Amino acid sequence: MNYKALLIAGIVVILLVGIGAAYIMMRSNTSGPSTSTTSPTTTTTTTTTNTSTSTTTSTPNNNFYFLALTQKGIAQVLNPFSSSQSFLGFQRVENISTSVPTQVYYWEEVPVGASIKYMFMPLNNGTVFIINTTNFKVVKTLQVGSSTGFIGVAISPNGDYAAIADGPSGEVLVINMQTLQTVWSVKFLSPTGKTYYPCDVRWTPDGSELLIPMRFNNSIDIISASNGSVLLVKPTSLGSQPYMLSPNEQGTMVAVEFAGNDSVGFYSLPNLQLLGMVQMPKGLTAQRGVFTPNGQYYLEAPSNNDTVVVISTSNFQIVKEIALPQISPAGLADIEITPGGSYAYVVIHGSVSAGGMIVLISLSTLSVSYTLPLTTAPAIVIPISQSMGTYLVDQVMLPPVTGLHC
Amino acid sequence: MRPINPFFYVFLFFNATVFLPIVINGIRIVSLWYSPLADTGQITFVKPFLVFVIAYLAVSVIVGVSLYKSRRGRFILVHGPMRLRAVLRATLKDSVGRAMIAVFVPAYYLSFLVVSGLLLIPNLNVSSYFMGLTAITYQGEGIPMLGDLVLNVPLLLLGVLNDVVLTLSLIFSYYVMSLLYVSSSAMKWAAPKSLRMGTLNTTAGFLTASIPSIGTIAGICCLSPTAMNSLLYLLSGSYPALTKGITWKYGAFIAGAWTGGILQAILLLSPTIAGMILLGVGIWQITVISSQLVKRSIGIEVPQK
Repeated sequence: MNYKALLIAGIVVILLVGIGAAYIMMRSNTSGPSTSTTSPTTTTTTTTTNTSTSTTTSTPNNNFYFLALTQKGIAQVLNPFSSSQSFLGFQRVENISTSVPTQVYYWEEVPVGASIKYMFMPLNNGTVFIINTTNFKVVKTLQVGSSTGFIGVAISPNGDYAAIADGPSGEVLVINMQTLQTVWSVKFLSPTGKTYYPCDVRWTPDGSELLIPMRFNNSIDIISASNGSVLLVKPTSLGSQPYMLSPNEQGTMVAVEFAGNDSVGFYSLPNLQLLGMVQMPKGLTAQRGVFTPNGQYYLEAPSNNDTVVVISTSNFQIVKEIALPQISPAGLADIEITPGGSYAYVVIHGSVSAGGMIVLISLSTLSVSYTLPLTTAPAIVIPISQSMGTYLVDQVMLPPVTGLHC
Repeated sequence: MRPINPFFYVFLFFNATVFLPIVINGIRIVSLWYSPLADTGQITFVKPFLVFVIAYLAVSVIVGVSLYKSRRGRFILVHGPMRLRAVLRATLKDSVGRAMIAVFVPAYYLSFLVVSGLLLIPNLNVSSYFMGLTAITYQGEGIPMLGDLVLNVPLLLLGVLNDVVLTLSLIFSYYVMSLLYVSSSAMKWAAPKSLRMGTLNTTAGFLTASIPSIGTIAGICCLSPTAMNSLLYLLSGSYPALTKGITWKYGAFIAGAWTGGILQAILLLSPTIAGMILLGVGIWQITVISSQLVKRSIGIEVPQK
């Protein structure tokens, strides 16, 4: 065979690799959630439907709606119990392009039943929008750090303060919910100036202290909510990387998710004595969990699979895995308890193009009760009273539309 | 059949070992992205990366065509018997040989740093959005950084080893290619196995350059008690089975069970190891062909009585 022809073929192969690379990239980009150049304000979407998959024997509290903030800045009011009309209304709070990695990030704790004047919309780049809940307008914008990374927000049990923890900058601050002024701000840095990466924050039930995992310091810290001073540092094993935590409602125990070894540690409060350590099932990455109201179980929502792991807090053993509907990409953003304590709700973030889902798990049967599929990708979901939901739908938000993404 | 122009062979070898791994690495980065931290915005990486790739390809095509059509060659004369050491010495003494090495050695090492993720270059091996986070995570894992360079000694040494092996392969293969080319022009010989040899060396060079990168890089880091690639954690949401498995092996390693880390490293380095073996075969072929050529040359220039 003519070697020249082979050489030319070789050059063509090299060129094809380059062109193929370009094609693959563009293809993955267009098929992925981000490449749509359509304005995110598109107002065309399918109405979501919900499905009852099981029934509970006791009378659950179903008197609430959900307020969801999507990854790209849309607020939605949702009724998880209506099979015919679950999507009630929406409003775009911020226009975040689908062509950038910026998105609303997942962890905002709002005390159950609290009537809050403002809510927070944290982005993964450290920007935090403060929204007036009566008109859903942004009234203030904070910049906590400047680097992309984990960020968490928690409202105090009495609703008077909000704590924000930003991992990349190491900054933790508390905001007065009435004046929206910063009460105090502390940066948690190593002696060489590197961040300890506080990427989550939770209030103790009495509201006097804050619990913070310091991921790159391998420690769990308790700090004073009034001035930010460190009250207790609990070292964890080298490389364990504690990065999420949740106290129980009784204030006697806190569960800590470790990124370094895929485990969940249980510690007593207020002394942070280790009570038990649970290794996650193979392939599951622990991320966010919640105690059942009676403290009997801890429900762990992995970041990489659509399943909920039930852990007994009496013997620290996994007692059950609750399979959820599978959505691509798999992974759960958050898990919290609904008002009245009848359900735990799980947020499956999904993707901007394919949408996500909210799943209600009955706490009496520890099984899936309701599923609420969305065409949007939910980031933060907060239960609100039906009266507040009705007000927002009637007075503030736009009516539901089909084809709504982001 | 005319043999390959030796400069064109060098050009192909350069592209296979320096450029192609960067392209493949870019595809990996886009497909992994930073889920669940950010599932959107790949275009912010894809666009500048494609600009780089297309610009390089455009220049490369022009250079490649001109080299292919070129009739010029450079034969490096070896004094004395044809031995690998003699070829090496002769190449280092020759100005063109020195220039070739001076370009290839730093170019390959730079490519290695990019592909392995040791040198963070925005829009080439990391999205500019995640530069800060990547640096923070590296440092959080206890891996020191000098500017945008990650000081991971085992991987840096692996790069040096790869560079040495590939440079030797380039020198020897260039020598025999030029020998074939010049001999063919001067004496109208058939070019024995030049294409097969060139293909073998180029493929072997590419395999050798296919070092583990991003998530898989951690397997190499396991060889060092203080080393752990932090990009692993950025990717752990997407590929937990792989990345967390490696993390456990890292933990097991520092606890004493070092075999896990070694085996992981061998597994991840298998393309590189295979490439090095092929390069060895290529060098052996070169010695055989060179010897044959020398014998034939003697046979022609000194006809038997």
